[in-house]
Amino acid sequence: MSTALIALLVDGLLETLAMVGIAGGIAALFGIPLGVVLVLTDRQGILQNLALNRVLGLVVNATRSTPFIILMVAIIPFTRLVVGTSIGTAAAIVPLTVAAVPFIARLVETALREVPAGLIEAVEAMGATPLQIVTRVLLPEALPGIVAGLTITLVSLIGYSAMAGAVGGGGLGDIGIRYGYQRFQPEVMLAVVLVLIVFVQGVQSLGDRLVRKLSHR
Amino acid sequence: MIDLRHVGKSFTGPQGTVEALRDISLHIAAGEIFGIIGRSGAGKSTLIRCINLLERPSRGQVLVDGRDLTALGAADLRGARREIGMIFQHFNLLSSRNVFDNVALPLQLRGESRPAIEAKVTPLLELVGLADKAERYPAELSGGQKQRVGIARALATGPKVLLCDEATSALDPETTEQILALIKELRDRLKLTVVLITHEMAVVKEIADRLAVMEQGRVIEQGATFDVFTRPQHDTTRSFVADLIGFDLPPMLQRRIAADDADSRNPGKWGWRLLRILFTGPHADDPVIAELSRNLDLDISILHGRIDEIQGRPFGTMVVRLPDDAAKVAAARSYLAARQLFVEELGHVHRLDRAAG
Repeated sequence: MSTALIALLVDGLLETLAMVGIAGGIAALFGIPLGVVLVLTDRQGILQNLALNRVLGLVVNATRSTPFIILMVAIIPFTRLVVGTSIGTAAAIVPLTVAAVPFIARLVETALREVPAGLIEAVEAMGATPLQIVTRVLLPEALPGIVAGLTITLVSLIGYSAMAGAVGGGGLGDIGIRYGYQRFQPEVMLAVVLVLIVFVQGVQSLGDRLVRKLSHR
Repeated sequence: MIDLRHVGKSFTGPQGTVEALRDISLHIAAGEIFGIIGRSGAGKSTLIRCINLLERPSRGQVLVDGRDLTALGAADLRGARREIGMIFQHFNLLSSRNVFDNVALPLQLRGESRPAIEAKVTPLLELVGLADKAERYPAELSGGQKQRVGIARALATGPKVLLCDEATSALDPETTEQILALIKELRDRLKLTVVLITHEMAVVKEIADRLAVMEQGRVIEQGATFDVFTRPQHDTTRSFVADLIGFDLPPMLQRRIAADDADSRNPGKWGWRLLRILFTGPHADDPVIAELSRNLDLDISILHGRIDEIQGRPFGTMVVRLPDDAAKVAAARSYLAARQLFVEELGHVHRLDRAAG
């Protein structure tokens, strides 16, 4: 394997790491609260608000049903507004984040629903405020599930990031397509795939280990 | 301590409106253990949830320690709830926290400092016998230990009232007894008022000072535990206590009474009379059967009986067979009445050879 190829792969890996890491991090900042709101405002929720719940649910579903490649192009004006350009790694992070927020929100929602209703009742009986119920009970109890959800999100984002090449985002997937597919260099393609496999495997194992550490069930 | 005034609760669902509670008024005195018993669906769970307003009553008032909870705003209600501890059938402990932090939770919710929390939690864990389990997680504990954690948690804020929602229903009989003993001990030591709901008559028999029986959202009978057990007024109550205190007759005997009652248009074929004697009160220990037999020259057979203790007082029931002689039966009844023993006539039976034929 030539040093040029290795340098190329290292650059690609770093770009992928940046895209997935930053997009995942920002998406978690928005997605986790969104998931919490979806649970709280649902029927029988502690802050039931069905109108808000329906609207949020609709937005989440609409975003999730749009294929990523279309979403990326469709929100170019928004991307330009946020990062000032529609080309490059930074420009790829915006649509990745937008796609990951509803994904995380749904996974967080599912994890929160696993918390037994009796626990919430017990702390309500102790006189907890809704905020205390969220911070002291719902989130800590659902943490293993939330971490598992974030792990799934990161792995999905690695897949999505391969399409970031469409806006010049770079990353491993972009290298694989440009060198391996368009320039007929199957060894580059193979190397990219191998690096991705190791990468995904690493993320998943790390996530699993964290979940086991957090879970006391 | 707790005053329920005309409390009603209706739920509206797709099948229409369901009346879960209908006009319930109860007064629970400070320091007593009050049992609420009923079959599932009787409304007892809804009722206990109305005491701390986890369920808001549709009608009526709930007064705890003189304060009308139904009139309080959200913030005041949260404050009032901190004065009411509650334990649950499924314990409802946080799996993400160890024993110490579970007990500390209500104190953290009140915003107490770490040293203040430690000063309260450690003695509480000793009180419930879990001092050595502070670092364990609920998943590592047995059911009885989990309920002890639940009790310690419920008492952390120093409440005057402890609500027990089927608190022993998920435990085996031996553990149930230990938990009930603990609740009783804590009531005595901390001067708690305890309300417990259960479908197990044995539980209220063990610790309740007074009890209420619920059916279809109503309280159909209430009174001192001993009285309700020994003199149940309502059929439902009777069936509840039947197993525990021997009200049920053996099936064979029941069939004979039933058959012979149908035969009552055919007098003159006298056989025997059956009486049930309830042994309560100061003469419960007297040798009444022997005295009856000796003084009234009666041939008494004991067909069925059971002696028990309720709240530390002796109580027994006995079904006896007497010859069907009106004068002697009347004499026997007045003899028993003089000793404050309650007598109930169950009917006639014929001699076994006739009944068998």
